[in-house]
Amino acid sequence: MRMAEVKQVSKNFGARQNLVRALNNISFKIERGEFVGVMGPSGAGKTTLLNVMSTIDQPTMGRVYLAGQEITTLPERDLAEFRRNNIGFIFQDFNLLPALSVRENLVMILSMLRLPADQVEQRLAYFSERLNLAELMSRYPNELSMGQKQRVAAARALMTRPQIVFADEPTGSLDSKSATELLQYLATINLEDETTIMMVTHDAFTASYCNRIIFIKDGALYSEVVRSGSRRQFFHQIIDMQAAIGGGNLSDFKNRL
Amino acid sequence: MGVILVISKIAFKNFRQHLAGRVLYLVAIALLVMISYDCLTTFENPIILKMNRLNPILGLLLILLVALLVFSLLIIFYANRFFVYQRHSEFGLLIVSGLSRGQIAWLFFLETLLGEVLALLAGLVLGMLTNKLFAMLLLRFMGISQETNHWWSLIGLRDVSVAYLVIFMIVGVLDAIRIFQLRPVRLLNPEQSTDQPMTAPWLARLLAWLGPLLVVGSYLAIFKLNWLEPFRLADRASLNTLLIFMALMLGVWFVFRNTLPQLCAHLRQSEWAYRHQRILDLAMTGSEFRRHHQSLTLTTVFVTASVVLLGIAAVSYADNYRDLDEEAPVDLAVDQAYHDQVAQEIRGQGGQLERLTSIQVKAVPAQMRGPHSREIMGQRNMPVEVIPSSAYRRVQRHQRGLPPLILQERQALYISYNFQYQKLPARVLRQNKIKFAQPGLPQLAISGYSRQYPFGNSLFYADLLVVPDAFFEQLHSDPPRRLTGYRIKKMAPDSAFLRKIDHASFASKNLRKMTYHADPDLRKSWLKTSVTGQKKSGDLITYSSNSYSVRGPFQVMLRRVLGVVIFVISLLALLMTFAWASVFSLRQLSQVEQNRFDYLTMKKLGVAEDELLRYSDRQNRRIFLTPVLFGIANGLFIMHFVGWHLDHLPLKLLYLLTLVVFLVYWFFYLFTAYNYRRLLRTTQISTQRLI
Repeated sequence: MRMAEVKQVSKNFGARQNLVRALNNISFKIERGEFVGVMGPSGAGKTTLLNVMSTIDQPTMGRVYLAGQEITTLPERDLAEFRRNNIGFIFQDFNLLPALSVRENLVMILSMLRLPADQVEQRLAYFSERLNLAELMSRYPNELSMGQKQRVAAARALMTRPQIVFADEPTGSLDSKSATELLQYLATINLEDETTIMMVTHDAFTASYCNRIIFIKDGALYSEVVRSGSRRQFFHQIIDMQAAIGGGNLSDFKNRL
Repeated sequence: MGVILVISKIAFKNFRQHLAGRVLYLVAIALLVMISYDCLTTFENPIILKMNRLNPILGLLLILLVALLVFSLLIIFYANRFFVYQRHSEFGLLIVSGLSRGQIAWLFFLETLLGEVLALLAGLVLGMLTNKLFAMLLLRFMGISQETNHWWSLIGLRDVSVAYLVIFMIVGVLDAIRIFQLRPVRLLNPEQSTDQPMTAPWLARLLAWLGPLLVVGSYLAIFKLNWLEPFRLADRASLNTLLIFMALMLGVWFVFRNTLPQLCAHLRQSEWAYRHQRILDLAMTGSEFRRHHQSLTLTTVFVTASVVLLGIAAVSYADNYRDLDEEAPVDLAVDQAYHDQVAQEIRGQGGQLERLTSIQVKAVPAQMRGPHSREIMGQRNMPVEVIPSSAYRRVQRHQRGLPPLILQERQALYISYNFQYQKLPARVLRQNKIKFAQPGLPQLAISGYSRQYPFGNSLFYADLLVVPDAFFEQLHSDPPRRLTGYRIKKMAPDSAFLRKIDHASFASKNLRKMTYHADPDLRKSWLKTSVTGQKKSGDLITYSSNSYSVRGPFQVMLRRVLGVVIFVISLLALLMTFAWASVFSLRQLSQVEQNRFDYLTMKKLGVAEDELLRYSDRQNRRIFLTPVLFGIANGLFIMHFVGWHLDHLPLKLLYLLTLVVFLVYWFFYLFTAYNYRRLLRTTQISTQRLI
């Protein structure tokens, strides 16, 4: 079943002499249950692609389908509802709400979905066990470590049981131990719950947890690498492709395994 | 030199960039400058300078000027604190870019000084334009209806400019000290400087309860005080008052710092908050209360102070002013027995008398019949003085403020100064009838109540009835009095001679006395009037009244001083309201920078924009109006309490003025909410937090 489809999408910023083409007629598909990585050099348009696919930004041209729905024509109010029901976000800088405790950060969006209280408790118990959050529930974001914050952010993204999770450099602010833990959580959830994940990263080690990597350069699709063997082999494939585009080396993997 | 030029250019650009958001604050400073100039110019106003006994008036204006300058210093200092706070990340970047703190302080000083000087110039221009209006209003409040054309004062311009420039410098030095204390690591990582939640929950709970307990305890303690005692610091009651006031303020502080955040935290954990999607807005409101408890407490204090000041002004206007007008409504009113003597004395001093009108007064025993009649009379029956309706109407032509008279055949208007102290509504009085001791007379219904006597209350013994002319003719009184009113010409109202006459009218030998025997049977009650004193004995009650009354220097002076007091106090309260509301609005807007990314996160999580704007409106309303309503409640409570001790002062005017205070804050709330929405809308969803 197809979860996402990007059809001939272009995105421009500025005008005339200052025109920057961030995405250039890009097209690809993501199937349900896939863990897709998006890689490319700085300025390739990775985050712009994620923003356009996740309804955060509008494309200049082209169409985007998510969960069978064309999102590029939806009005703002319907988009908000669509995001709430279908999309989960994990950001590099966590974006937890500082005024809310961990529990409230997790529960708040469920209150908007009017989920019954017993179901909320079930989900809280499930994700707090999965992401090891039970001890943190009454704490506030400023009392958490970076790794704990990102685990809470991941739990928040998954609490609504979204059709697809968009992660923008989720390990960018984490140390290697916390990053590895988070990636293992995401890989497990992807495998066991069949949650579709699309992750933007510039890091080959992080990308090696995906099933498929889409490489983009100058806003256009450059290549695609699909995992077939071990994670180490997949990592080498990614490094090779990064070398072909420019950037990335083998020591990344050796140092972090 | 080059660096200074670059800093000056940046300062000018920053000033232009922030001008729109600070316009109301600058208007508030301009208004303070305007009134300061108007105030100083009054010191040179020829009409004011011509007056005798000038010191109290100029002293009050000087107090107003000092209060304005102190208040200006306070709000500029406080506003600049927010401006520095707003620019933390920018200052951090400037520090790491290599600018010294001195240069940053200079940059900040220049850009704030540009706005302040603009406000100063605008204020001075406004001051010159409004000076005539200011002086006319002041004179009108003092009871002087003279034209004034004085509007220009070089000394006023110089002194106000110097005073405000000194204020700008002082605040600039204080800002520089604050900038020198900033730590770059905190400026660049604001998350590190966010408030930590209370570490000990038991202490948080204790303080949350302590706030309301202190407030309620202070309210109760106020009732124990004797407000009629003069205020002296050495006095124990006065010391208690200060302690109670401090406890009240501490209570308000704890309410904002602990009680309300705890209440919000408690509510948002409830099933209700989950079902009604109030988790986020309660959390944000709670954290705002906690973060800004100082400014919220100050706002409560300023609103309370404004309401109390306006209350004092309103009460002075409604009661004291009226008292003065009622005591001596015409230049001279004199009983026939003293007529020739007083007239001769005034003419002897070069004064001229213009006769206004005369009225005949009869005094008779009477009784009130109806609900609370005994309470109103204070005894079984009472002596009343009576005048005909035609006489009342004649006086009405010369005595401004005497209420209109509508009488049916068997009705009377009841005029009493003391009825207001009996804590009874006028409708109870209107349910009563008057029965006269004289046989054959019908009872009269009371058509209305007034406390304003024709020719003033000092010329009557006690209560006065205005009755139809035909009825008046039937009354037997021996001997009837005749009072005549005059306008005095060619003699200054505050002259030493009139003061002498005024003093003499209160001398015992010049008082008119009446003896009344209140027998249980009304028909056996009798009264006897004479100009000579009569010893009190047995059941006899003696009454006295002035035989003549002059609107002397005492009233003139009192009225003028009272006028200036009312003018100064109300002006100060209204300016305080406007200026503080503008600073409070700035503080609230300085919060947008912090909150906009939380709203952006919410948007990404799927909360619709109109829902987010509703959240922000609700939050602004709670933060803005809670201290205002709290302050108004405090102020009204204090005024009610003082009024209760001071014989139920009339507070209707205060309610109206309180409404004005509320509307000013409401206007600033709308302005803040509008700009808050605008700033939130400019935060694009694709914007990333750059930390």
